[in-house]
Amino acid sequence: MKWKRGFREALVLLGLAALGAVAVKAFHPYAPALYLQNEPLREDEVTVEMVAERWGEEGVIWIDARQVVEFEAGHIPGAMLLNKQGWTDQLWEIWSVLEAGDIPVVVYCDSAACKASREIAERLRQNTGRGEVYTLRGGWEAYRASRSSNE
Amino acid sequence: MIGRVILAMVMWGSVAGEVEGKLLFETTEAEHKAEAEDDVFKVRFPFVNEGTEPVKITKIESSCGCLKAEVSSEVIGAGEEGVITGLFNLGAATGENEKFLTVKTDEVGGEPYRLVTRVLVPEIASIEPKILSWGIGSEPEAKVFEFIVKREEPIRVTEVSSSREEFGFEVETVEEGRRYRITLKPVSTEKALLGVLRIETDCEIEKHRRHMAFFSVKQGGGE
Repeated sequence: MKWKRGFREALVLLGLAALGAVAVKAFHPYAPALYLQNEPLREDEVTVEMVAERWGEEGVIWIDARQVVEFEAGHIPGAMLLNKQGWTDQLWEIWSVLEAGDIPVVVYCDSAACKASREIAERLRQNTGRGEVYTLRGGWEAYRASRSSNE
Repeated sequence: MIGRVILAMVMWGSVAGEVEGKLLFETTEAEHKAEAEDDVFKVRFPFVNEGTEPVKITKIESSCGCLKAEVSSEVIGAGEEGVITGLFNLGAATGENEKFLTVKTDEVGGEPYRLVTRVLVPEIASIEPKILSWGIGSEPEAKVFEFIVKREEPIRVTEVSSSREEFGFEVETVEEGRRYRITLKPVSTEKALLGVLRIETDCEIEKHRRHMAFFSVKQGGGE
């Protein structure tokens, strides 16, 4: 029977293809995850929604850990620039705000991919003794997305 | 039947083979030492297209706005060489600075290349410890910061000021241009506070002229 033979061959080919796919998934160094997962928030991490609920957007000190050019192109209202490249000079200027009161500090950078907000938050805690320092999940991108969805 | 299976395996094998990139980089991890006065540091990633087809670099993403990329040519012919240059804005950063570039191409099934840049910038002066703290209600005893010059050329402390009147301080020259001792004493430790000593120097590199020494009174401080 011709169709039976063809069916068997199709099954063999399908099996080989599946075997190849499994092998690539198992051994390829850049194999992607099979499903998307939301990493849980770290202890010092907050979302835009959490900031709004807990303190209100104006109830925190926003620190922008990006570069000057990016900051000047757009930032969260009231945010102050503080990055590793300008650490001393920038901190020198904004310190009076940081040392006054117990208002939480929220540091953000460009997106979920950047690490600058974590570096700056860690420096503020370790080097200056400032308590209540958080990082913003998703950074500036997440903030902008939340603004556009609210409009 | 067997012939078709072999043909299928060969076809699969050729598709799987395309997953391997054609651009071969001399190195994908570059480590360099910068000078303290460097503002922008250039890092080069030379490569060659080892494939038989031209490769187009479609996008280069950076892990930081402080690292920009330039490419010698967007399309690299078979056998041709090229270079991706990373321009690392160091500013006043010291210590180890690590960032990376993600290079995307039009190679069929090709994965992005990740080019890691590590630049070590020497610290020319340091304040030790980084922070002084006292516990709330603790003995308001004096504590000491040291300003230490780490390079050969001297750096002199020219002015020290405090953000807090609740703390008195004294500056003592241990060795001119090399080491200074700043003694800090709170008037009271009754309430929590943060403060900073602003230390100005005569360093000829403007970005390294100012330093900050932090102090605090807090719950559990001074332990």
